[in-house]
Amino acid sequence: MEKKTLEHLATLARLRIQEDEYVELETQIGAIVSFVDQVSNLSVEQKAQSIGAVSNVARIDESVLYPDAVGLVAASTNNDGSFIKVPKIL
Amino acid sequence: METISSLHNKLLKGEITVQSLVAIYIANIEATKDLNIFREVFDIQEQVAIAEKKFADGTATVLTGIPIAIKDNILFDGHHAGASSKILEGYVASYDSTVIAELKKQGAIILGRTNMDEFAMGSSTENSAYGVTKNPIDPTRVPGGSSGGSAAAVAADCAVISLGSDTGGSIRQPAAFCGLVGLLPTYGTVSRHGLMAMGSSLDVIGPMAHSVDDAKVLYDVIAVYEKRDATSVPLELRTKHADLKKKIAVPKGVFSGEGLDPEVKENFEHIVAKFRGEGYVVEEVDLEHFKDALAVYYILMPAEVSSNLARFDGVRYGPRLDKKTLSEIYTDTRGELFGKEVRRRILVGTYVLSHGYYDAYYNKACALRDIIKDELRTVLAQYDAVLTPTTPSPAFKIGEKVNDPLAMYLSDLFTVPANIAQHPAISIPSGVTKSGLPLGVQFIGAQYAEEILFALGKVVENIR
Repeated sequence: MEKKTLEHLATLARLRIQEDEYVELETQIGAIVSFVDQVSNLSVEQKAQSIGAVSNVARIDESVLYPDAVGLVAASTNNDGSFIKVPKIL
Repeated sequence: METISSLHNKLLKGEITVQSLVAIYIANIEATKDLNIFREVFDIQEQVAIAEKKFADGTATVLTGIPIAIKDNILFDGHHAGASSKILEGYVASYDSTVIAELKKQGAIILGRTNMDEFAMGSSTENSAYGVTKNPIDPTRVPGGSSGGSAAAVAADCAVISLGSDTGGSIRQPAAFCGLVGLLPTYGTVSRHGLMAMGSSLDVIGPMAHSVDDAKVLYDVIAVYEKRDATSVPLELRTKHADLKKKIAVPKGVFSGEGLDPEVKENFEHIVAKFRGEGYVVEEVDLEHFKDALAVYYILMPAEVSSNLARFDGVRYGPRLDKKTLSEIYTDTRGELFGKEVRRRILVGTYVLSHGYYDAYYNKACALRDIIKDELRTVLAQYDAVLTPTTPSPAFKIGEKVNDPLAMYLSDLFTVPANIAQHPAISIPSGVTKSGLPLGVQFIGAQYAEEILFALGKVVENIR
């Protein structure tokens, strides 16, 4: 796989890839894509996709206070107890 | 090896106490620290007190006081959980997963969290950010993965049973490498609520144990309906299969042994012969697309990975690199704190979902998934199970495949079809190689046919 394609994928996936990693990735991802490429070459009948044992599972749309909101915010390393802090985006 | 049932009877009669039982396993954990099995051993005194009280007031159940190890991707309220990834260093779970809630009801002792391939991506635990776990049977070899720590914990008697998760073989392959029983339950029977998502249409939590009976005890406790999980299957929809037809199918090509280690082939033929000796019909069937499941898996799984792992952005969980812009926080935190294999799979997933490739890869894989499901369903209407070796080889050496991801992926050859079809499968120890390495065979059953798999597993335990 070409470096240019990998750079594009890394941008889409929000991943910083170090310059020296590209050579190894070109080979490894190229090999993986070649392997799975057998699927794109198979002629299969495209049917409507099957659904699982359950589908369209819905719940009543009601507001319920999460019992441990403080715990959820605390999972972020940068918070003031009530809010997660991030840099300004504008 | 003492079974859960035997330990329970001793606890009931007062021959042992929960405290004394737990002390044995804690001592074993200390003695096997070199194997790097646990990420963390929890403070368990409160759990022990609860279990002792259950025995005192007569409310103890078969799992009360039984030491259990859990994989590092299962949430246990107030305890660290990290999926063996640097990106979750310091993360503390803020709620109990469904499986942990069920274990707490029973008064089981959750000893600690076990090492794994980062975010369950791997077949050897070599992708853990905290070092490889060594196979207790031969420490120069891997324990399998991704639930390698959970397998090693039971194999080294650091826990009576353990919980792993299986997306493409991550319970069954390490179970086979460590000489254990490992069950992939039917998708939707054990809730994913509180399991860190890897491939959401593939992930299932399941038990690892020394025996079929122990695996069944744990499965029966955790296979509950969970209303907070939209993929949890209500109990009334779980079709019962109880009667054995004594007919077993083997996919064409398995007997020829192509790509199989000779000792795996020999052991497989031995098990087939033994089943025939027990009056079972074992015959080849044409599962035309069984072999394509691996390629389908390595499209669907990375696609789901790339989506699921988008949430790990340095903002909501775990550490964050100190950068000026939000965009740099995302790219640098993810780039630096995700390991190599995780980044590879995110890139492959992004590729197969990207404009111009979606139809050729993702949609084609979805269509093939339906065909694989149909083929398995048709065969399993006539047979009790599909039988294969669990893995093409016994446990491999540490470092042997670490630089060749594709070679590592091929070790999932027999295990991924069950995940793709969302069927249950069980790996049962079937013997050892000349050098003493464990081998396993796998039965894939019809959906909700876990009882059939347990019955076939017990046959193997008696004839191997």
